[in-house]
Amino acid sequence: MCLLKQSVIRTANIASFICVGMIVAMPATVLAQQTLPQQTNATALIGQISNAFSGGQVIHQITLSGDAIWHAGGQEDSGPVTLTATMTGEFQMTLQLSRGQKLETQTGTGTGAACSWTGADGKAHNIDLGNCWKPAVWFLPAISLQPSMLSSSLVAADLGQGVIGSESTPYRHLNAQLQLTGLPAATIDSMEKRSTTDIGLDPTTMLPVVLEYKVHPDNGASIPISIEAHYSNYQDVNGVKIPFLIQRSVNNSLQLEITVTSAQIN
Amino acid sequence: MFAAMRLSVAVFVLVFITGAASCQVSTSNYAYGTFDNKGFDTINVGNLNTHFSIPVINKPGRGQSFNYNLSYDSSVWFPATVNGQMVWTPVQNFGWRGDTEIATGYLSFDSVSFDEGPGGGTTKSDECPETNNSNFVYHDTFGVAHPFPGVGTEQREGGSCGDPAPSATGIASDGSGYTLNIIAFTHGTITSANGKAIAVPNLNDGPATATDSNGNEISVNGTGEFTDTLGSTVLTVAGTAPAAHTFSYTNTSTNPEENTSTVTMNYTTFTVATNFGVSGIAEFGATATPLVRSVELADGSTYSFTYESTLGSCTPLSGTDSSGCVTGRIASVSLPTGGTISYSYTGGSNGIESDGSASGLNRTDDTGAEWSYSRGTPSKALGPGATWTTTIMAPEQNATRNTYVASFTEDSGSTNNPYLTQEQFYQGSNSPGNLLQTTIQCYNANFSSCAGASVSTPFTQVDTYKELPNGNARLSEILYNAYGLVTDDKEYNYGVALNAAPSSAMIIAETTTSFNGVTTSGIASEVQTQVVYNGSSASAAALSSVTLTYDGVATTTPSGTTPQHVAVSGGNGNLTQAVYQTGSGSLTYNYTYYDTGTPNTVTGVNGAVTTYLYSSSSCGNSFPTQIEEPLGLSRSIVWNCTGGVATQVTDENGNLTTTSFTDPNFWRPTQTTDQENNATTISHQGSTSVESSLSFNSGGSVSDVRTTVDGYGRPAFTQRKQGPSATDYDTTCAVAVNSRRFR
Repeated sequence: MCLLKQSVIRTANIASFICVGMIVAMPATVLAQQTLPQQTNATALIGQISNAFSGGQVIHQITLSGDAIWHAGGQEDSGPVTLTATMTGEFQMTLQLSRGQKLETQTGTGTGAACSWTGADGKAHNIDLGNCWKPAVWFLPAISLQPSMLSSSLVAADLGQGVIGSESTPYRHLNAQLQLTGLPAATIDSMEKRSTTDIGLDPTTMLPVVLEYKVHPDNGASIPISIEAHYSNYQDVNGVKIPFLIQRSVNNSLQLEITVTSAQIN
Repeated sequence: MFAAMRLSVAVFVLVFITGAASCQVSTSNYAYGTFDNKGFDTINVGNLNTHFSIPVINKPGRGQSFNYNLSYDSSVWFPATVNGQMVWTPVQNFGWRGDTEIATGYLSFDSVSFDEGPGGGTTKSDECPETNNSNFVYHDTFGVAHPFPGVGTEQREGGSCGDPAPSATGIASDGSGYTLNIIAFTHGTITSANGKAIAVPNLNDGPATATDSNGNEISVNGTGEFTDTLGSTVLTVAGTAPAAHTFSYTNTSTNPEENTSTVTMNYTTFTVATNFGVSGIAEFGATATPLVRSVELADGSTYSFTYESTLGSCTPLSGTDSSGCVTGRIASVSLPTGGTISYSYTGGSNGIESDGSASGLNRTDDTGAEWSYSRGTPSKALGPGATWTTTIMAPEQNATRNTYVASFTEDSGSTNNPYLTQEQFYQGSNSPGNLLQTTIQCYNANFSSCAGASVSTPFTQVDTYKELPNGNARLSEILYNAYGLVTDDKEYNYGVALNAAPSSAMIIAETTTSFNGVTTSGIASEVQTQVVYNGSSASAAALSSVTLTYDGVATTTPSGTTPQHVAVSGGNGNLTQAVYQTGSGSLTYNYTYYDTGTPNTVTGVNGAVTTYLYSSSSCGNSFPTQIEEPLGLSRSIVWNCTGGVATQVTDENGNLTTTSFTDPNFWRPTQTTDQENNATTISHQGSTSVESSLSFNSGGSVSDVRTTVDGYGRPAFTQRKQGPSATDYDTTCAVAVNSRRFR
């Protein structure tokens, strides 16, 4: 049995997209091809995020440990959690719940990503590649927003103040999505839509407060499911701002609450 | 009694063109389903989905009419799975069909991308990233989902790998007769059994075309303009929720400033949230969502809607309706005729099953009449192979509620449909002594213990037993081909045995039908021969038979320009000869056609010819302007092409019959004048009564009849005016029908 690695790149030069970094602020000529409502200086904004996150120092990997509560239709489960994110956008979340272990893993980023989840059956289930087309690690997006790791395959736009997801409070709005060239129009269109991620930043601290994107169900049906992550209780750990409370909602319903108790910075 | 329950088992063997992923609750009225038609709304007895539609415009056309009706299904929730975790997810538009879907339907599919990576596969092509498209489902104009199991395409991304499977074809497994032909991974055409092809979109909005087997085309562009076969912009759709959604058509007025009528769908933004509490399925959190609050017809009459409140504590989001959170499931419909239908959801986990279907439903009208539908505990988690019963209790009459109990099995094949395996009608409660009749339905020649048996589409045979309380049963046995067309109908006499294949000796009548097959013309529905037997076809004599020929004579091109007409390949499906056997002889009819599929000549059994003439200047060769009949007779017809209606007929004696259409909102006649110039005026008083008044005898006499409907559009009574100048009506005719009859 071969190991599946998910991708839909329609180019022979697939390797060039694998394990490269994240977001780049595209020149105005490229951004003009987007449908984004506004394109201001995303490079500057990303720089501000990076400065707020780590003071500009390059962070290679962060491991968070803590406690998690999992909600599912009236059921609640809890246990320790370990989350690891790298500057390349790879991550792993390991939940030791009372009903069994849950794993969510991503290797590679953007179009080179491969994702899987493991549930109580102990088997790794591959996730449709389109659900991996996200430009930032969902539980720690700032690690993906380090200017030195930005990829030319991604576009970003500073949309100014805006409301994101279910939030009613306006935040500084960074919109990011994948865009490749030389591919069939349908692929480019699909990639743009399915990779679109909105990040809301505290206008004072410039740290991420909310992140929102859409995924499709596991069976590949073309039905958008909203995923939203919220970050709060930022604390300084060795000069890096870490959210000590991370919450993830699916279809606006709280699914996962993570209370971070320690962070290891590399 | 039970006649009033009006339960019906709908078997659609041929669905003409008149949404949802594979995991969603089955909607609308699908073939072989069991439905309770209540008039405005129809309830699926298996999964308790409520379906209704609201007409916008229905206009005759050349080859195919343009039918646009806003339709809705109440099963708006289904559990989607993300990373192994189920979460309640709403269907598109919260149950309403999309703009284009209403006219052409749309095609959905599942698409999963993966890359086995270098060395991951056994061949070079295995090293290329690829996308697999599967689970293609055609969602027809009524909202019925037609699955195409086994149809899939495979798209490789690497330039040297090629695309191994860009195209695929298959037949719907649900007996609807649709064929799917994918030509470019996810794009293709849907062809109905009668040859109508639809270049079907992948979304429920956007451009699409529907072409019949003679090339007559209905199309919609990307800006919401629909063009019918007459070449008219028949409908324009505009607006996006939460702004009003408008459906505009040309009305009867000849004044360009007044000739547009609009149906408006109005929205209110609610806070939608679930609190169903189904174990293992995450709730849908509070989300500002525009829901349809009303549909206002062109005359200002209105359908209005309310929604089920979310159980428990929920604070409406800022900017949404402040009255409270709702689940999005419909709670009531108020009709233009004044009646209100209320729905409440019962049983299960706060009225819902784990697949999103209602576990119980109470349907109540303004009179307090309540139909209650309750589903028993399923044999297992709802899904393929699950079985359950639905018990229906009719409104109380004479202190008694009649009862109907039906057993269902969910398809183990490719649909999510529940299919009836047994139904029992009781006079009163469901105790054995009250049993009136039992129906047992067996599928695909499995005769053993059919009630609660496994069911798997496609169906090739359905055996329906009607058993009386004394155990005496009769049987109808219907055989179907792959397109859901009836090939054999065997009627068995009372005395047929249950739980075993019936004896052919019990057959009292049989009708066999053979089809040309799609390989002949590409049209599945062409009947080749049909024979009726006085008993079994194996032994009894044929009572009658007909042999049909199609496209046997070349078509004629009509003069002038024919709009919305394109060349088509394959057969046209036009019947050109019908031969009826009469003992040792036969009677033959011959037919010829224009290339539009409209009839040109009909030659009767004695050789007499009727000829139909058309004009490009009269609705683009769509409707006959003159009919030349045998013996030198003829009649002519004048058409209004905007409405697709006949306004004047000159009969064989040269006398005129005229019809006026001056209603400012709807294409309905307002006056007719007969050959003796007597005029009948037709007037509508609001939405609840219509009056026709025929004045004759130089105004000295009148035939004036007013029909009034109740709040649900059902004729309640008819009155006749007492004289030409009277203002009173004959009261002896009042209350022709008591509304209780409709219960």
